[in-house]
Amino acid sequence: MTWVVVGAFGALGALARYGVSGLVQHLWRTTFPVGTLVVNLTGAFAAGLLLGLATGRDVPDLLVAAAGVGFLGGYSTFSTWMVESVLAAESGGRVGLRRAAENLVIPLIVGVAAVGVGFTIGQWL
Amino acid sequence: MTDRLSLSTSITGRRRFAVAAGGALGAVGRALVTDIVERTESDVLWATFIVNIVGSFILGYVVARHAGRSRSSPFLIPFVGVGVLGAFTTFSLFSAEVFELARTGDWILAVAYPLVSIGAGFVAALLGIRFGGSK
Repeated sequence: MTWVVVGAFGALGALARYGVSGLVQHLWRTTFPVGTLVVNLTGAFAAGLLLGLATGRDVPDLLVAAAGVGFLGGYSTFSTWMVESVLAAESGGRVGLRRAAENLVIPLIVGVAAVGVGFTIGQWL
Repeated sequence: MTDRLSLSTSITGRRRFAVAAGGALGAVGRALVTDIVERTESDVLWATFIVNIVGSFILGYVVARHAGRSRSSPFLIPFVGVGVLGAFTTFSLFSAEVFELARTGDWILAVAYPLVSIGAGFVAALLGIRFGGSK
């Protein structure tokens, strides 16, 4: 049962990422992979929210499987982040390396901060 | 009716289907790795680490391989890249784990885990692209 739920919500998460990332990248005309960034940051915030809600409370396993493992896991992505960083580095010279470094460091710091904000709100709710 | 029919068989519609189908497989694959790691009674951090590094390597390989071929399927990247590997790897769980490590006061891991993950993920993606690009 859990596997079916994870699969179904993983499919929804991947679809949502495809839509959001494509839309953001289309609206924000930049070479910076901002589509993946927006997806990952909103995903990190939502994961923090879920963690904040679940910490110290009794949350059904199936809800965690659906929302956390399935949807948010399928929605956010690590592999695209890494490949986009390598492609930025290979785009040439010092500028490319700087872009790659920015694309690695910024999402990490803002991502963990987004989890923190989500967690605080989740605890407070 | 004909509109709906043409929509469901359009390239866009089929791409979306490929993303969703791949996403289901990727998410289940990740849950499977987590299950196996939990059975070995290792730290669950290893599950996230493994899926993220392996996924980064394969995505790099697939992207480079696809770029080098003129007659590759238009559904390959939506299915394998966006769907399977996008869902197999995870940023939300990764960043939530880093936050939890910091919150519970495990400062060494809170610094080491993200640095090692990003370093290894970057190298894995780079190697994947190199392997996929060579003929």
